[in-house]
Amino acid sequence: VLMILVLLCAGMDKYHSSTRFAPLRDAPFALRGAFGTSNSSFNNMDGLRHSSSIGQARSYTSSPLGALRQKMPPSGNRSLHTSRPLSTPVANRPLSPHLPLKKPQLSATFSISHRIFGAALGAAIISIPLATRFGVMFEV
Amino acid sequence: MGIGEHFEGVKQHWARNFAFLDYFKKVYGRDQPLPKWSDADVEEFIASDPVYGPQLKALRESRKFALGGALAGAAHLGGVAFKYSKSPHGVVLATGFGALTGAVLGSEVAEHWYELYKMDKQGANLRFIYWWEDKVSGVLMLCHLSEFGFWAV
Repeated sequence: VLMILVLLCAGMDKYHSSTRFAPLRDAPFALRGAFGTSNSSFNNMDGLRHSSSIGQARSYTSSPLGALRQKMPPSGNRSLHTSRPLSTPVANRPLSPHLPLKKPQLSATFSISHRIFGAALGAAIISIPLATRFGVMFEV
Repeated sequence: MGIGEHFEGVKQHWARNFAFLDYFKKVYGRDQPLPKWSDADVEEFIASDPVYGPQLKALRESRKFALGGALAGAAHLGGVAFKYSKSPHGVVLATGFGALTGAVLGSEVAEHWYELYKMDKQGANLRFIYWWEDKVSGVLMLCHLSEFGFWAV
């Protein structure tokens, strides 16, 4: 039964939420191991995890339920998304145009101008106490 | 009439509340700005004034705390953003905000380390400005007097 579940979940799209693991998907990352190791949920980890978290998950085998050995998924220990440094781009290919094509509508224009204005206003408002606090120190 | 006196009282109340703005007027709001002073001038004032000199010195020392805190905060938050985020503008903004927060934290540490809450910071700065004003106007007066051929002692 566990093998079938593993194969099913490995074949599913990672955005598919299965009812069995739905609470685990909503749980914060730190608590995922806390929900019990009785199911082989560690083999069905999302592609969003880094490979370091596999080592972290393995430490839970020392718990009382650790007698249950984890089965390796068919894809091995590779996570679906590897983290890249900022310097190398994801792929050296041209992107399809979106901004030059879409007609600027009132809703979108309003929204982004609201955000820009809010950011500027926030910066202006916070600059007053900052100037007061640091002006006395840095002036003489 | 009573209402006039009442408004005078209101104006005095708000003048007292906003009295701290006088400091900015005296320092920044001059018709002719003062000549720029150097660190040596400030050190001279600190040595000369027994009351406000140490206060000004403590105030200047607190700058280092603020700068150190800014560096630590920028490095920490920028590092966290760099590690977990791929957006370059996010890293830049996080570094900036970390610098701001770190500077405030560093200045708070300095405030309690040097007990800056006990002193009048604006007053200490103003004392230096007055001293500098007197010093500079004395030199200017000497220059102007010498134009007319008088030699001041």
